[in-house]
Amino acid sequence: MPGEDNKGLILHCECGVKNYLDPYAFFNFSGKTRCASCGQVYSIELQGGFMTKGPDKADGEPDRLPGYAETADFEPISGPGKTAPSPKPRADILGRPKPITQSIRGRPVSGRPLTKEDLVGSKPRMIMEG
Amino acid sequence: MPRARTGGKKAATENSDFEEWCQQEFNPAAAFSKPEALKGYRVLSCTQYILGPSCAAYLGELGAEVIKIEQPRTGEPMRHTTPWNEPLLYPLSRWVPERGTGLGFFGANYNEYFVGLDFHRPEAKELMLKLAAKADVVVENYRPGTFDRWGIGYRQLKEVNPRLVYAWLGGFGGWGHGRGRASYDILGQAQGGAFGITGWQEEFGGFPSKHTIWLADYWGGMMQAVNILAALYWRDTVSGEGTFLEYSQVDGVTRQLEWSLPVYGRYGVVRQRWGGWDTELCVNGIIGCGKSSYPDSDNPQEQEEGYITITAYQDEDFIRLCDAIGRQDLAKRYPELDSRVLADSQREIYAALEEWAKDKTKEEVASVLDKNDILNQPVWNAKEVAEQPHWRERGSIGWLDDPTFGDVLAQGPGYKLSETPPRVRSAFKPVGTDNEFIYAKLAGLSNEEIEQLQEEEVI
Repeated sequence: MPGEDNKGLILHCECGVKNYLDPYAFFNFSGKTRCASCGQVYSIELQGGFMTKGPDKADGEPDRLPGYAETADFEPISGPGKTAPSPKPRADILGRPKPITQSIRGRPVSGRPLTKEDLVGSKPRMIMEG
Repeated sequence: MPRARTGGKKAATENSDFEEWCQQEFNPAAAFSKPEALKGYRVLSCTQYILGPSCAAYLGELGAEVIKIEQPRTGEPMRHTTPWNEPLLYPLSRWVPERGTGLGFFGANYNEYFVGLDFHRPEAKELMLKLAAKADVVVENYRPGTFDRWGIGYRQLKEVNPRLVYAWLGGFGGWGHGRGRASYDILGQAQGGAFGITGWQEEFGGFPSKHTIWLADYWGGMMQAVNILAALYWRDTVSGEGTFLEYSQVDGVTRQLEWSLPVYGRYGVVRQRWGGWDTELCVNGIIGCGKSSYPDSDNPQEQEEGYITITAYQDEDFIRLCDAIGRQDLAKRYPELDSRVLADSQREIYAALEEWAKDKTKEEVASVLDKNDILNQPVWNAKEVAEQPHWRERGSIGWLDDPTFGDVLAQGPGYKLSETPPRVRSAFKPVGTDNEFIYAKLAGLSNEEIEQLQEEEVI
């Protein structure tokens, strides 16, 4: 199965699924990963994003999971146990607003979504009125 | 709280009387009782991201009346850019209160008035001409020639205001065959040559490194602000007329390449990267300290080992450094800079320093070096910088009671003027906050006209 297609950061499984290997996790990598669809484990080695060894069928548990996968007709495959989210620069980044009402020293700050009723002109009412 | 950095080499000219005088003259608490250097000058800031906005903000810190002009209701892109779409200040505008402005916007838009104006609408040109007629300066950083194409560039605005100083900023210059591309800080630094000499030597991967902060933007804004002051001086004292100013981000980066270009021109030698060390001086670099200063922190970056910068390239300093780490053999083997600075010498010396520091935190290393009068500075993170009493005392960092957003920690102006100190009155405001005030004052619009233009999302 391994062959012509498996030269970089996409692992083409013999089941027909393309497993996208997250560059952050796999750019320089030596170990095992697993097809997100059929569960076949592969031993691979990548250097600078190029696959320098494998993929060779292997047993056991994967070291890392692909970041994303899709079938030949482009149906996405992801989820716990199948794919792994890409690493983040900080563990607590959520990517969505983190509302606050106080600064780190405990004073009021306009850090949460407001409604038009919360405003006086363009200013938050709680800041205007204290 | 991190300790104040008072150790290390003592200044040769300690003069407490002078220091007391400086403290009095530059007292940040007295800034608001003093006049502002640029009060009376009006600046239109048609800017986005950091390069253009920071230029106008510097003028605002010095007292100019800066009017930021943005896309109605949602504002310029920087409000929505960083960081991580998480820490936001609300409202984005009175029309969109449920959304906020990201803190990447912070620091580049101090002390400004905020109005909306959709430059794509036919009504915008007339309003822009009215505003420009009563302005001293226009700052803009759209792609070169865009405002000219829209009929509101320098050539058109000087017809209504010949005294106008028009400052354009952009990535690759407004003319020349490389002009046509958009730029961001990272591209400007790459083309300007900064990344070519920043990053790792080959044995550590060889990769160049980008600067995490937007250096080319913030320093570019400052350079163009200097140009604007020169143009205003020329106008007000010599010519009586305005000027067109152009600033390329790349030119600004190249201007700061130190000796890289002269040495290339002389010998054809391409200056190389040398990581946290220095190709010309040793010891003058960063070492890792094996112990974390915050082993119990939840933040993975704080759990890492610490780092410290050490400067001991003078022969006598190097001898003391070797004494301090118990490696007098290095001082004997490399008594002069010429021998120390060679690549193999540096590898040995920095490895010895890290070996010595492997069971110490950066503060413990600093303590030893301070006792031996060796210049050093632990590499600080944002928390350590923010909590430094030295910078708080100087007003370079401080809590701002922002009139719109409340309690925010802000960088203060990075320069001090004793008689006309720069200051921060507000971090920024929601989009279009000052529509009524500015369009009535400068364009003569009635309340009804302003309301209608707002409803139509022209302003």
